[in-house]
Amino acid sequence: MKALYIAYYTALRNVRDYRNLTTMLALPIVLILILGSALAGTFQIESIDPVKVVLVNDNKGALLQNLKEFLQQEDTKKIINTEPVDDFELGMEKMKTGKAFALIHLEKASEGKIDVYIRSGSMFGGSIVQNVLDGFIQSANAEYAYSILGGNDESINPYDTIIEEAINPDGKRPAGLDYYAIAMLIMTMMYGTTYGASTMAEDQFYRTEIRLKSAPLHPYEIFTGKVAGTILTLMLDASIIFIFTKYVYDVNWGDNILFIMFTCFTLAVVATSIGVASFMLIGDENKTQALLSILVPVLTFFGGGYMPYHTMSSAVKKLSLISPNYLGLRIMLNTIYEGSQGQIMQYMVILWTASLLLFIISAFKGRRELA
Amino acid sequence: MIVEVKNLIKRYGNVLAVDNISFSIKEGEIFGLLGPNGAGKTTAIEAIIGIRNADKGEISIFGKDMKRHASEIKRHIGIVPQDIAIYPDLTAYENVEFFGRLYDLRGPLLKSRVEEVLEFTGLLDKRKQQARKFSGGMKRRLNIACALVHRPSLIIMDEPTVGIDPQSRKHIIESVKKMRDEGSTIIYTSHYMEEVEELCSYIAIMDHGKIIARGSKEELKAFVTVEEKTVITLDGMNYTMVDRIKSMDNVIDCSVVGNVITIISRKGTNNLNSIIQLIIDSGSQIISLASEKPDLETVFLTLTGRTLRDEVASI
Repeated sequence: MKALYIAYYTALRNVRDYRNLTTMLALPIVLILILGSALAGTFQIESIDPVKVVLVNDNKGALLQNLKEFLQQEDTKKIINTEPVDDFELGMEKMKTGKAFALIHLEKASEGKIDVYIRSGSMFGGSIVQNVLDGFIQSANAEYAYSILGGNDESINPYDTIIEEAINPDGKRPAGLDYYAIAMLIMTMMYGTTYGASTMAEDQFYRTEIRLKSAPLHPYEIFTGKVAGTILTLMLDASIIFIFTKYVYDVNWGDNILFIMFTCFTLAVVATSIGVASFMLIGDENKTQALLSILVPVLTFFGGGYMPYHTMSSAVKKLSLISPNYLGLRIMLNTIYEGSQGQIMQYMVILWTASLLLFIISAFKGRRELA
Repeated sequence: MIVEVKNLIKRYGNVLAVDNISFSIKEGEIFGLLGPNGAGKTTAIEAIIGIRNADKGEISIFGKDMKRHASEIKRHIGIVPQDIAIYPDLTAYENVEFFGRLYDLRGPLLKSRVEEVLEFTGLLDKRKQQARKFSGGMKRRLNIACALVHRPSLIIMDEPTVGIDPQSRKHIIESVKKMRDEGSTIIYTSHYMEEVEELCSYIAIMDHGKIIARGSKEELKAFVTVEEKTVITLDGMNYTMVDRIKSMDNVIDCSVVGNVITIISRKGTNNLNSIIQLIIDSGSQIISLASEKPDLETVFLTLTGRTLRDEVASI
């Protein structure tokens, strides 16, 4: 119960720090507008013309028939425009002259082997062709494997391998404002690390530590109360940004608002744990604040907070995995646009495990200092 | 005894902050802990109330062992720390209310106690004002209010009047006197000897972590003083009168420089009335008179060779 009072008064003090609060709220709201408008083009998906492909067939078996049927499917034709060519050399010539992006070759002697040649410099078109054929082959392999096992599953249809996955049932995709609303909300939560550090440090600064320690309180009540107070403050910040962006910027936060708020809560816990642990390990508020003021923008950058994740190089993308911002961003995008549930679960587990570890380290350090 | 401390030792690395001190405090007593900054007063207090773990020693408060019954004992202790320990972003009312809640005060009882202590410290009309807008003296008073909200049986006041204006100091001293009259037991640490002398019934003098002297103020003064000096300025000198003073009982010496007589008497003889009568009878007129009695500053000077004020000024 006393921990709850400590939490309430901690949050009250944080909220009364008007200068800090204004920065925490005004900065993301302005940045959402600026970045969302300036980088809106990055999120627009242009219409893609079907990739021109030549098909050279030296094989008269069932494979050809199946592949031809597959390539003539309406869904496939939207992506690949296939032109049958009798001669391999002629097909290669068409590709070299830019009349085709790829060449699919079914060799005479090779049963079931499909060669794909991609014109150099046509990485995008080539990858489309490769992916479409991968889909066909996987289905064919699955059917073959099933037949060996004695089955006759009619549900396996190689023509079903191209499935258009809309980002949500309405086919909606994140626009610039939608993306940056999420990214900046997460950035704000991560700036909450500074709340975590200052909440732990304030009782040294204001000398109120002696009052808390001389009161009939257990150290865990003080620790829990202060952590809860910081999380409460951050949830308040998150709610204000959420409501503002939803009703003023008309940002799409999806239908699962409860889960979005739970994700905010998770990020508030993560930020608080980082702030608390940093202060407990460094032991000096100024040094901790300096570290966090560098760390948060770095994590925001790697988390796709400034530059959209899909525009990053592969090397930067690998580093993103260590950023809580990235994990939070993926969880929210997957939630709003009904993406991978597995990824949501996986990233949630990572965030909670990391927070728990940081709190354990902080509590352990705190106990040692008390002794 | 409300407090009993035996052989308390507290080290910080190689520094012996509290060096084997023992003392006890009776109920209703104001126990003064006098000493310069860095003498170990605050460390001793913090070890006694369990904020710092003592390296050695036994501490018993309200007849209970502090180590075993810390939580229970803490309920009845109120601490006024040396540094102002309040939250500047909270109002005076909220500050007191918050610390009251930590002592399980709730509802109407909490409200009445908060108002009571704010009234007691003269801050009731400022209760809605944030503490950051308070003057140093008002913050000190709020510091006291936060310690009293749960009506503690033992109040520890660690240098409660440092760095404040005379008006606030007077208010605090009067508040302590009021608490004394109401029967509170108080540990009062200070390097202002006048305060300790005015308030405390029993005094321990600390230096370099040790208690170097203890007793009532009279006992402490008696401990260091062997003589009393009286300096009298007259309108003219009468040497017959000087001889008669010299021959008085307990007068050790009487010297004359111009119209000024300096008389050295044995301590505690209280012969000033007799000396004055003798001067009047001789027909001389007294222009001025100064009687130098020892104070706690003299006691500290005698014991350590240093003055309390010098120590403070050098920090």
